Amino acid sequence: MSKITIDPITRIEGHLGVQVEIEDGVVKDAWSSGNLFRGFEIMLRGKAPHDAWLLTQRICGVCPVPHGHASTLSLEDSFATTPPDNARIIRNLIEGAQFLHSHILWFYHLNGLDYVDVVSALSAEPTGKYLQGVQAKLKAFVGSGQLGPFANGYWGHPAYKLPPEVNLLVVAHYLEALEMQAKASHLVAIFGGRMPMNMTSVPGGTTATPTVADIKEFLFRLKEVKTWISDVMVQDLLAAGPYYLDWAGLGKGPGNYLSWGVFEDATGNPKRRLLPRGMVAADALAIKYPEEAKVTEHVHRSWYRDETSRLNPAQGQTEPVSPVLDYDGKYSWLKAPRLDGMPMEVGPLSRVLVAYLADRSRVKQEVDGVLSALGVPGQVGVLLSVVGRMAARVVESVVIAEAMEQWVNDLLENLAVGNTDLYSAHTVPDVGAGVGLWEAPRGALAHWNEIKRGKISNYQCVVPTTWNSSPRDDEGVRGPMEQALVGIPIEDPAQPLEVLRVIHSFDPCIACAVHVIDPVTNQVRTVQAVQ
Amino acid sequence: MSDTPTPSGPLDAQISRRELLALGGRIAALLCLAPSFGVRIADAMADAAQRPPVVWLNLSECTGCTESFIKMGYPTAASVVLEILSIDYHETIMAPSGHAAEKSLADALEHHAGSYIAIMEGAIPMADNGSYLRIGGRTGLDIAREVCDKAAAVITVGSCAFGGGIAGTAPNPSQAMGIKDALGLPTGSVISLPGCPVNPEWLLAVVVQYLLLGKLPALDDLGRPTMIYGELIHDLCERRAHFDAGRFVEQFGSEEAKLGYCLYRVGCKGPVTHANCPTVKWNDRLSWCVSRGAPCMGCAEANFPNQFQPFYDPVPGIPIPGFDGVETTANQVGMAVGVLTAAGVGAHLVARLATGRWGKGQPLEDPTAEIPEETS
Repeated sequence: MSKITIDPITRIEGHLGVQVEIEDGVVKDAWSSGNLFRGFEIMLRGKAPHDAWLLTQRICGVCPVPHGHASTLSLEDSFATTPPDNARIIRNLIEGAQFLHSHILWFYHLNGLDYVDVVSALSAEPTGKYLQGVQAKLKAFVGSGQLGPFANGYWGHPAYKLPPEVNLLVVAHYLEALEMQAKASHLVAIFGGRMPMNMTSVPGGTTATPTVADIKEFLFRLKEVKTWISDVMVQDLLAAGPYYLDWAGLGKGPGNYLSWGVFEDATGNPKRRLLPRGMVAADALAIKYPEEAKVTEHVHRSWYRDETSRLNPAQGQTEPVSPVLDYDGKYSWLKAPRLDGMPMEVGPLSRVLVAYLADRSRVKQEVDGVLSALGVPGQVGVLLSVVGRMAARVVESVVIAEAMEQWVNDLLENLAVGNTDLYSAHTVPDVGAGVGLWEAPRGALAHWNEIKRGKISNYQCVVPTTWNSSPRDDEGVRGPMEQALVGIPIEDPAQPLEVLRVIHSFDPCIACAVHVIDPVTNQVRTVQAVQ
Repeated sequence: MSDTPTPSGPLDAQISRRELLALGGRIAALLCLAPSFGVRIADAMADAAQRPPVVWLNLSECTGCTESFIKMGYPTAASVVLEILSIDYHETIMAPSGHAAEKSLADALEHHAGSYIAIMEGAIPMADNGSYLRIGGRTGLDIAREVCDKAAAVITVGSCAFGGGIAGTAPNPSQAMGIKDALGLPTGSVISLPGCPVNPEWLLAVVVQYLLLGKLPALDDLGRPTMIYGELIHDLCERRAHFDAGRFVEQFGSEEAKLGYCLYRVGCKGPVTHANCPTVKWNDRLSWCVSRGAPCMGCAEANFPNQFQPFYDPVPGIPIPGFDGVETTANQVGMAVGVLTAAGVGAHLVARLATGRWGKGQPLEDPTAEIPEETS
């Protein structure tokens, strides 16, 4: 038996370390440790409620938009106000652009290098001028001896399966995708002012006045990104997928899936969102409706005082203890959220699964299309895996980009009939409480707020990575990512590429995941580091 | 730190002369240089022996500055990463993880000691001897000290690395500090690019200027390049004429908002924030906060965010045309605010300071104040 620790995990947001125990070439056990503490909720106490949506975007610069929107929704719940239809549509457009950006970046830059051998691409023999040009640049880059971010990769690892030509093709698209993720982000800026850190989705509506020029600009740029997703990203999944079908049976996790739902429709019903609210428990492949009141956070294995365990976030109270790494005891800044006591996988796979089981036609078509193209028609079960998490991001990108075009039309129709409302006037109540349930690209996101004397008295977030990368709970049950790691075959413990594949399939974001609040004393206890 | 930085640029077997000229032209435009500088920039890049190595640390941060950086319109992120710089360590984009990643850092520090550019994103949490942030078992404080000590130049990006920023939001639970203060680096030794996030054009302008001229840009007292932070947003703002004419937005979504009036009354911090946002804008110069009806939140200024909350309350102490019978010129407002930032006290603001509001480092309201429990 051998233990290896991978720290830092790179190509993610934030600071994560993972230890795995390997026996006979297979992962026997795994521990996931969040390595940064900032204390966001403490910062929010006593602040003006309207500030929360701007501050909480700074929880994560990779996915600021959904944090802002979850916060705005939770504040609107407290203020008992709803945004006008135009604001709902503009927020959906901004959110959609965030999702496209995030999925493109993840597919190629964060996750792709686990499957694409950049060095192997050098030995391809491309016939087309485009790929020949890319290869020449790549050769010159390698020849310079300055490999920059590509130095010390696990190139040549036997788990890399693509032929040189496919490696070169995807490397070419890796470079294209660097531009395309920026272009998707620029869509956010058209109605959001800038990206990262959207400025316009204030509680009550939006500050952005949509002009004809903005709408034209948005459609023009959206079309380029949408076409590229269909012509390049989808095709890369289908080109590379068949070489990695063994990963369709690996990295499943707990088999419980949660989606709060995202992209509001005109009725405001979460079951009617483009990607609807729902949960799937223990492989039943049937949807249930999740209740946020059943969320609790366990902390016996996290660097917080045991007495604060198993609270609903609305009443969350936590106090950090000195972060001494002990895999038999406390080993993470992340808490362990559970729904009805169960660890839940969140993310694109959960959303797509819920939408599929809810008979959303476009999601069904795309999922069935991918399964057929990969030679496993109708076998939805293969998606409950590392491959499924990749496919789900591509499916979502296609469906969201299409929907965005429709939303622009909806906005135009409103404006055409003289509906130009952008903001609902409201007042901040003396006392209030609210919750915003939404989705970030990497999964279920919830913000709770409580207001007293017109100020925030309590604020709590439960974010995607806290669900996915959580440590063990008080019962000793592993978090979803830890469960997904168990059983993964490892060719070479010195180059644990397979472990990275599982971790990256969850797209962890550690800045999001670490939070704490102490509503009683508003103090963080400072303790001496143990030598 | 080495005090004799070596100007260098990309080795460019891989870029054609035509591409280099195009790139040089864009960078010249970015730095507001005459077009002929484009040729000189291209020559300098072609002549250089190697692409300048960069070590980029992500400390107590949200990766927003990295995200901002890779959203460059032009030069594209691919061009910056592959053709202009050699990004030898950057956890968000680098291929290796774990020990292999640590090796990349060790290699860069060994082979390029005294010649690499250190780009620092995020604050350093000082609580519990720095243990609130660990990377590969080492504290962020420890790693940052080593990386900055051996660098040719240190550039901090974003508000967190500048003065604690978001990580240091009151009551600052992790005792986060900016890089310069946490490491005790001397004034003038660190180029600071505050902003939440940093604007990628600011970073590129500084890097390229440094590479071409071999020296740091002119800095103000806080270490910010004057070419970027020399003027107030208020003085560059496209809505300035509305301020001068006393035409204000009082509520979002109103007719005044749709007409693009001044956002001062709904909290715009442009009158006290130094940055060239109205000129370089964001995201390929497509948009910026005020242009989409959102008041500036002061994210590029010192003491952000603590001094700028509540974000939607007007900055106190600014004489407003058409209000309270006070008339003032644009220059007077700018001067008052300039004094505030540079020295801490302006004649208009004495009263505010005396009452404890809007003082040096003080928030508009004390966020640590206990909220009394309801009595029923």
